[in-house]
Amino acid sequence: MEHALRDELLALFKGKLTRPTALYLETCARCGVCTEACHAYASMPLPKYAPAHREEVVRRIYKQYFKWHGRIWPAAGECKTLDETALDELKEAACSCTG
Amino acid sequence: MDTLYYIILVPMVYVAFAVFITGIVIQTVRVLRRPKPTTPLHIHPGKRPVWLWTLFDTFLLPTVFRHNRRLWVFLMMFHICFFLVIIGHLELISEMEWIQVIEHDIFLGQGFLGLFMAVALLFFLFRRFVSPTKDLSVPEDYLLLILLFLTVIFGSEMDWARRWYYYEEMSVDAYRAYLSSLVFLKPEIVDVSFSGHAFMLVLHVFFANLFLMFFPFSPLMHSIFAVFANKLRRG
Repeated sequence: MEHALRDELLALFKGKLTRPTALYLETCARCGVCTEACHAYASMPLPKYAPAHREEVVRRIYKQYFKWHGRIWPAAGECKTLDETALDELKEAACSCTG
Repeated sequence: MDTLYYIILVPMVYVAFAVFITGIVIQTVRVLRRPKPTTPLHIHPGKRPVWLWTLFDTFLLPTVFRHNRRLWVFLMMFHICFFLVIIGHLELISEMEWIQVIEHDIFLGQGFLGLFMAVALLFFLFRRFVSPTKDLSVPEDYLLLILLFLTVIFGSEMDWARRWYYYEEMSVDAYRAYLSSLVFLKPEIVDVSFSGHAFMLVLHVFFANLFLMFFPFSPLMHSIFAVFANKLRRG
């Protein structure tokens, strides 16, 4: 992915980063309780359909570019660089329920 | 060895607390300064007073209770013990004796609080070895649980050594002298470094330091943000 496009996408990401979004991204402890409450996961029990995993796809990019530990120790949080595969994951996470 | 003990028990503690406090303040300000939502996010039907239901959601975890009763029991056990352990540590600062409302032996819980926490932490850790929690976990989740487990187990062992294995020579008074010396910036570790079980204190403090330094950059910030996130839901 070209730098200019990545910067543009990150600016878009930052524009969507409201207080609730940041709170949800920071607060999740990945306990997995959401898997027991999600009807989509109940019908298709695959990790990629778990609500926390969908959020994790976004969080990994958030950690990489908007948090300190993404720069200090990316492996600890499995941070993700924004590239074509990340975009595919984001699309899958956002649209697999609604089509 | 004395130098190593000193580094862990004095400068590392100050660094850990500095990182812990400044990290929490900066992280909290960074999140709360983000733009407010343009649409309301609260759930219906709304219940009042909002602040009371926010605290109810935050401290009693009703959603977890509804969906996973066993996890709820361990979560409550862990968090209640954690709260009591914090009070127990504050009691060790001699000047804060007012915090001991009901008179009891120091240390609060006699090592059993730590034991309950260790059991709960093992439960949380083993949960992450199994799907679906395994698929959601990242390395820092395991790292934090292991760090906290080591902190808790060495902390409790100090108490067990003193109570059950006759290591009375390093007592609560020694811990109090050490903690007070740190608080008043006149660090003194003589009282806590001579006993046979001093290594337990050193390891307890070492792992606690690592834990404190990691805290502001980890999902442990849920301890601060959970109130704000639940407030969003409650309106």
